[in-house]
Amino acid sequence: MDWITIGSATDIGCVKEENQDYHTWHPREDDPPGRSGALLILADGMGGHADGAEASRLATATLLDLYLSHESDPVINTLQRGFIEANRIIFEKSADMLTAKGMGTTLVAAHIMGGKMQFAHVGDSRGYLINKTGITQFTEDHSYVASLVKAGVIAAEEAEDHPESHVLTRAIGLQESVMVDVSKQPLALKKGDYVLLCCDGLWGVVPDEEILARVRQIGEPDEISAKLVKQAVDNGGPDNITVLIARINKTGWISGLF
Amino acid sequence: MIGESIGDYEITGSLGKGGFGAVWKAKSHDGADVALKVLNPQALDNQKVVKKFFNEAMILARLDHPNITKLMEFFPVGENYAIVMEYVEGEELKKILKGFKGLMPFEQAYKIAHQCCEAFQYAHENGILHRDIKPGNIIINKTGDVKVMDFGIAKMSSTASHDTAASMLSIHYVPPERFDKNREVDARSDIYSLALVFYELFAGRRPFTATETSQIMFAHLNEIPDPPSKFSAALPKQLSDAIAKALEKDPDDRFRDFKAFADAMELANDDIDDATAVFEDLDLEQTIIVDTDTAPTAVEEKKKPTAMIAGIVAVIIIAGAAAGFFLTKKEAPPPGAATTSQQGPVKKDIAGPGTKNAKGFFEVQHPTDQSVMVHIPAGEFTMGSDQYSAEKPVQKISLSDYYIDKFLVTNALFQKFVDATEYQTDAEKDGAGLVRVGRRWKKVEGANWRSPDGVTGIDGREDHPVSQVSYNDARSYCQWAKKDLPTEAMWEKAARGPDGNEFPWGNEDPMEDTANHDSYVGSTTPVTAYEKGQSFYGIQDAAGNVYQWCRDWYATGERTPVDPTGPETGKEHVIKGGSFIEGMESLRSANRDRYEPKYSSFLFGFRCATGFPIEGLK
Repeated sequence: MDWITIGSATDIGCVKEENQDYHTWHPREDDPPGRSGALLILADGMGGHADGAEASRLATATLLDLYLSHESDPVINTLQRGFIEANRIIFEKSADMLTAKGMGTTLVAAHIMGGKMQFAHVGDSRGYLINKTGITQFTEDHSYVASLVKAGVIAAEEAEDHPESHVLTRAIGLQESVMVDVSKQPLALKKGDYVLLCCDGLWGVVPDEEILARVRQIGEPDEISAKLVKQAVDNGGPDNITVLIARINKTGWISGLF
Repeated sequence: MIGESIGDYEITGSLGKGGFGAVWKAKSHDGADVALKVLNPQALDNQKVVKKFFNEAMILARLDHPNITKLMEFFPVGENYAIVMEYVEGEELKKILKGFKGLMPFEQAYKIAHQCCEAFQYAHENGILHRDIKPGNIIINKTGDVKVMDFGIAKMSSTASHDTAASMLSIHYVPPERFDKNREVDARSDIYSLALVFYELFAGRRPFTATETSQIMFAHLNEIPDPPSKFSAALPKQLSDAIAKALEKDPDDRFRDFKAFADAMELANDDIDDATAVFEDLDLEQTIIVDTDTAPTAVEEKKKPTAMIAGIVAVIIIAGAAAGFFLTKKEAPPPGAATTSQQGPVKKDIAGPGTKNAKGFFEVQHPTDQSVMVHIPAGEFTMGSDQYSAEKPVQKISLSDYYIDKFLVTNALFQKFVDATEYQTDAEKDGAGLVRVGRRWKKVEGANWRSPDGVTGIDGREDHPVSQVSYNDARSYCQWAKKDLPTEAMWEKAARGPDGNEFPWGNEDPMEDTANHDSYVGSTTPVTAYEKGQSFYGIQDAAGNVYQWCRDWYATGERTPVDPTGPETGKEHVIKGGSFIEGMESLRSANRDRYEPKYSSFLFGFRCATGFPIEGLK
């Protein structure tokens, strides 16, 4: 696919004992030509032992499965269904386990085709759009502190250092039902734009301006991802770090079809 | 899982899942039904949380009330712990409320409310807060009686909020003061949450109808709810008023305790009859519909609490817990009790001046500032540790006799010094001091020892440790008092004792009542407060409250084995002991950090030491 370049990097960070992030995209190099457009998925798992890793993997796999088996449905509907299905599966799975503690995950997915992007999202992993004007976060954090800021209780700067900055208000797999955020309108993408998905292991320690600077400086998604991950590690790496980036090389009605 | 055994219990069914684990129905060996949860301590990040949980369970275990579900047993299973609770056949109030198309019959609602008041009043009288009251935590059994569950859960959540583990939070029943991280929640917070439950009980709907988290928060903070009587014409005014008062935004405006709330909710029999009669006339739904979860909205909680910390289970308390295993009626030993010494105190038999303290060491009053000082007899002690490179190596150090302040130097003492010498501290000269705001340090104008955080003064805190004092300031005080700062070795020996204890009281992790740490209190505390956490030799606040300056310049590596005083020169001086903000790692007696002599922070204070004997001692 030459209309889009996708790259990623992931790292366990400096503090955690295992990497509970999971990410994937479609199509990958060796995938047979099929579904048009590109789908990026990123998940940040939580839960003791390997539960978090299992949750993020399971959510991603469930979503991808549904996406590939429902080509004719509108993408945004499929994504939403996929999120809900992932939630059901993980919730039920942990109910069966003797000791599943809070097995769940964040989940964010972006679909790009023909110069348009749509997304679905639950949790505090983020999606950013980087273009000529700058860097914009297109997802809204489902976190306790983000709600405090939105409610006017604390200022945005206080949110970073708040002792409860990691408490979520929504996640996949922790409750019987989940409310999924989806893009209300598709976002327009131009040649040279970037879509970046990441977990809080990145945005929690690397400010937006720095992410933007790296993207502009480096250009190649794989390299950008690697550099950003390294930056996060250098800044202390308190959590797992995963970055998934897509660069739009061409738009127009024909792109995204191959 | 069904058919498997855990301990003496056989799992017979599933009772659902919460945010942190499944609940099972099980049969005990004598055929009784119980509810069983398995708690995986490894998933709880560290043993510290499990231990706190134990302590909580022991306190909670003293509760014995017909409207509170009983904790029956608590035992280890492999790497996990199993919690066995009374099995209650019934339905969550949450589901029951959903099942009513109109209002619940008044008599039923009033009975539920009345029993809730009794349960919480009882718990509060025994010093227990629930902290997570919601309809999902109130079970109505087959006889229509209330069983409240999940006491104590949210206390554990406060531990978790310091962890980096993400977790869920649902905020429909959370009091407004909860959103301000600096405020304490107390009995009045439980009153607010219960009032929301009562509102739903009597008005048939929630006072705030927002569904989005930030809007719900906003409502709690700013929206004044309609009185419940607006939605239930026959509701006695007394109850409507009581609920409205309990829903006041400012805790000071609510009832001051549960007894007051319960009293306000108490109706005379005539009034109950009148209300019941009116409701019957209105011909409302009379039966409880017990099933059906129709399309729940996203932020609705499920049957088991999705508390902020994953892994901590709802427990309900009950009678008689011993440390961890089968619950008996024996009183468990209080945490941090006298297990500090691994051998007896060093018996040097110096019939020193002064009186013996609780640890068997002599205490005197210093002639200049009248502070109580403890005599640390000459002898060896184990200094340093293997855990951090700055603390290596572990060494046997020999010290001569000396005295060290039993308590941190207080604001009162420092005031005396300033009155006598007109001394100006570094922060006063600078016009600012360092204060930690969130995770960042900020130089706050006007912060100095008279107002360590730059905002509140020290009135009423004369007995708190002086803080926002630099090494230079501490040294100046010592000079005036004819004492000195302790060397790091003197400090460490006095703190941990001769045998390499990790903490002043021994090797158990710090608890809320042994040290002022981990922002449990969020500020300094009186220097005499944490008696439970006193060291091997009887000094207090050797862990937590404020960090203490030592005389030494900072260096690492091997120390002089006899009376070490650190290197001749350096750039920074050693501080020890942790602070009211710090977590347990910094509370370890071997822990050390270093700062420039004029560095002034609201977390730093000091204590003094002198040689032996003291001149001019009476």
